[in-house]
Amino acid sequence: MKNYLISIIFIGLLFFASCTSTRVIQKNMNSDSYSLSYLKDSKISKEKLDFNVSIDSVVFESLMNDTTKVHKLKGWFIPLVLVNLWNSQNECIQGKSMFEEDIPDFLQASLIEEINRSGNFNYDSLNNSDYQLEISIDEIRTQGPYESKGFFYFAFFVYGYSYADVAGPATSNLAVTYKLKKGDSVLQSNSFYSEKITEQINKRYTNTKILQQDYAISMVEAVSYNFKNVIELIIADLNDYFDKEK
Amino acid sequence: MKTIAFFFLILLSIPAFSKIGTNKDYNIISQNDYNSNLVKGKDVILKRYIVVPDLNKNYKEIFNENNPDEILSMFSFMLNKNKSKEISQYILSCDKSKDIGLLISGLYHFSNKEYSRSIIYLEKVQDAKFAFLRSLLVADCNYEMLVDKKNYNSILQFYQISLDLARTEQQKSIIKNRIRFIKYR
Repeated sequence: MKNYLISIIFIGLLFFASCTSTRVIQKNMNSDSYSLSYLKDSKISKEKLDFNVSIDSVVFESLMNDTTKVHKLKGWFIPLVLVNLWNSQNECIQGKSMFEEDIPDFLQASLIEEINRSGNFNYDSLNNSDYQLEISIDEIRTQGPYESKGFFYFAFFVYGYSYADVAGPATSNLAVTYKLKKGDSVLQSNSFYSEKITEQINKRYTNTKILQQDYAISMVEAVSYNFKNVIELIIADLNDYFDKEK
Repeated sequence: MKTIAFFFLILLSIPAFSKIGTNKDYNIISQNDYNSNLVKGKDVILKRYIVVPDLNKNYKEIFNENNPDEILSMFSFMLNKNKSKEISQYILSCDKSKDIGLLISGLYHFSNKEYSRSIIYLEKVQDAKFAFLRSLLVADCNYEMLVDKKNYNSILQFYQISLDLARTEQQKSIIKNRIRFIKYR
């Protein structure tokens, strides 16, 4: 009787230790914030044309949650006589708290850096130029699965178990529209979209908290990649416009 | 007898486990070996490599060598195998008025985790041939000197300099993997 009770407690402890709860995943993914900063590898523009552009506004009216949310899609636990199985599938939706930076401020600062680096025109920090840029972030969304699964078997004095948490791949989308204006007239406008799918994190992590934090980092890395991609596309488009205007 | 032989083998193999001198945070490796690791799918993201053109195992010739490329490859081999006695001897005798002497001294202090001393030598290296390696070592030194490694934004500018100096896809990949290491650390 005593041995039976110990076995039950052992199985219970194993289950609770192995099957990561939605609440714990959410807590760990919100435990820290990460930088969107990235290195630039665009071609440095050596000659600038005589056009000056200021940034009028960066609009971000997002439905993005303030914090990262984790929803359970499905989950089950099968307590058989000799074998126990469990599986839990969750969906993680990125929130603003994952980012160190304020998103519109980050976009504006990165855009200015990219203009100075690869633009064939100049950035005007004094807002005295004829040309103004209006930027709007139309979509920014990153979400992906998190699965926790395992099994435990025992027969008298023999037992064994295996469990694994698998995070990702997450999909990150970013859509940005820009308008180049001179006074009230729109001279040029365009929308750019970028998508990045993260790698699945399925290495054997001994600490699932680190796995969940690495998953959060991979999501931020994907958003960072999308910002870099979209900003480079905007500058290339503006370079084409000013090349034709010169 | 077998046990003694086994322990003797382990003792012999200890230098081979060394990364860069006594610094276990980085690995010094040749360009070919780095590419080979990439092809084999070995981890090049969460390990930090100092990639040099070549590692020359005839390191004992370094005391008679004048060619900067050969000196770098021989000294790199010595660091890779942690030949501490020969390393110390060469550092005492090398000409620190020359670019290769400064670079070697920078590498030596880097291998001892003496990052601020390493920067003092590296910043004096002028030869464009070593510009990428020099800039990467300076960036790594600045990262290592950060008190709070999570607050790395202030040192990204140093890696940006390295990326702008990168001329090959391998060099670009090294920098991008450094950034991933820093972010996932």
